[in-house]
Amino acid sequence: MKAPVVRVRNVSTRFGEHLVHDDISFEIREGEIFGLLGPSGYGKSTMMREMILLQEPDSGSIEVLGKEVWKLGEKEAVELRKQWGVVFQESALFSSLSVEENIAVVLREYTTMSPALIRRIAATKLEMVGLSQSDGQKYPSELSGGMKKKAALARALAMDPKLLFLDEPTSSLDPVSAAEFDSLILSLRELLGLSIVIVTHDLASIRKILDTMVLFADKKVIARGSLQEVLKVEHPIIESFFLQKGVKNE
Amino acid sequence: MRSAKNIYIGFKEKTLLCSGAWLTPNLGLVEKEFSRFALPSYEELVMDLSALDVCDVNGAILLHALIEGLREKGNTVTLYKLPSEAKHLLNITRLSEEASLSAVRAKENLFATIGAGAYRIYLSLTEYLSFSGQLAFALFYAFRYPSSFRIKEMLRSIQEHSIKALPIVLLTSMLIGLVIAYQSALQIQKYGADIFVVDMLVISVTRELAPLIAAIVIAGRSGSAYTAQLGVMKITEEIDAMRTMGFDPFRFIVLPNVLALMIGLPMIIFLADIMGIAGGMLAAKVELGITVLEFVGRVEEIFNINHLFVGLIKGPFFALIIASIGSMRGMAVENSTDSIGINTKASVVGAIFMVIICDAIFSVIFLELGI
Repeated sequence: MKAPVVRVRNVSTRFGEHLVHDDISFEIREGEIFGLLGPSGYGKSTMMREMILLQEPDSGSIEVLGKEVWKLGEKEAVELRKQWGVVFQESALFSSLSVEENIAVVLREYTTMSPALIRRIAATKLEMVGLSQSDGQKYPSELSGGMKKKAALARALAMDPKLLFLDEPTSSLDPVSAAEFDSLILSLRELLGLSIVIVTHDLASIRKILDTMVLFADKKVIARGSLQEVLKVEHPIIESFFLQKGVKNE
Repeated sequence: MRSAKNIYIGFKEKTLLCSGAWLTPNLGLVEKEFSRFALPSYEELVMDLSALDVCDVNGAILLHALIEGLREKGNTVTLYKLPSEAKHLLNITRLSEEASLSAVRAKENLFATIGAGAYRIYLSLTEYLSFSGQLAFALFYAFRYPSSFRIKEMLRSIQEHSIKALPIVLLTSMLIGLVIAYQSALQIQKYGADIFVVDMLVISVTRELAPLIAAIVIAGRSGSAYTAQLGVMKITEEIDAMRTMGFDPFRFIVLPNVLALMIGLPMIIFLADIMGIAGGMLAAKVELGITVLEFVGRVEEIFNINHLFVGLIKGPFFALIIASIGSMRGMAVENSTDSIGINTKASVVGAIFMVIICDAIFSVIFLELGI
């Protein structure tokens, strides 16, 4: 058994009066593509934000890459942040920088590499995600939705992270681009041995790329495991989540 | 494992010995190590990688670049004891072997910069003309179909951009009146012409200072708000959504804002006149001992209603400049957050500049007319 890259223990989160997570625990193992699933508003994106130091849970602990993230000092937190890559739902590319500069910016900030090497690295990352050199010179506003996602992925890979977080990567893409993006993620995992955490609703993605998943509902994790294992759980939300999308009948 | 301690490159008898952890944070050091050697040409080299502890993708890219650099100098390079992990990574980075690296952007020369700047000014002028045309069209449309005019929007805009701006404008105006009276009191006293401070104050505040101060504060406060609001609406495609529903943004947003400010600004100026003079009155009392009664008496004696009108008539013109430049800049925002910043800045600077130009033109006109 490989060591967990993320370990969530007894996490509770509330927004004002509203309880989002009630004592949730689960683990994500190295090399897994792990899905956080659930209907909208059940706190799966919040869970991811808590893992990547954007939002503090009210209680419980979250360990990422062996560090308890909410107990870190500023310096250690920066070190940790360099070891993961995040792709946001709306890509969140810096609109004032070209795609290439978007990739180069962390390298310039955190390493002493020469500009020539940084450009070379950016070029390679672009190629890894299937974008061309000329796309690298474009600004985010000149890219299509699918290309933006790929560029955001290339940016997330800049520092060679071992762990990747993707927040609904395929939600705003057409089915063809979404399938293409899924294949890309699979091939990158193969190539680089990444561990990947994905928040998603996209059923095609769930079926195609997830190894393991947890399903959030009613403030709890109501099911966990592979897709087959999750489907075996009897729960009205699982019925509605998968059935209306037509998986369970197959 | 991540420590940069063991990074070392040795070069001995045609063998390059590479060691250490070639991980992204350390690669700058690796490059530095390499730059210590004058690398040879036309040799048969061996790269000994047996001491390479660990290597990530970026490390492999560097290794690749180094090998390529050596080969370009006519060397043959043999890799010795390439760790299997690095071999796998080298295969990935080989993908981009053919991909030519994009050229560095050409350096701009001075003439090109000046030319581009001049062309931009020309473009923004034509843009303004086109914008004025659309605004005029919206205005005629509103006259032709008065029921289509968004009166509620306009009232809300007056509330937001005129009435809520009053405290800051009036405070500024009062302070300026106070300072002007205070400063000139010192000079005027020398001639024993104390009471003339009233003439100076009243004329300068009503004709010039109050309108300008009001316009400048409003340009900073509301001009930027118009730009940012329209700009964000453009980025979030709200403007496009309005257009597809047949709501012309000029009729629904721009025109109400422009008219609201044209109504609001003269009123602001009127109140700013009063506060400016009140501020001066305070300074005159404290510094020169001119009582309120004396002050008001003198005002009555010298005040010509033209002074007031000269100031007020500028109001709608300044308002048109501020609101139209603000809205135009908002509509010019393109699909990037940077663009909002640039256009907001251009909106405020442009509006203040044009207000001052307009004020200068008014001065000439009033002088010629003898008002």
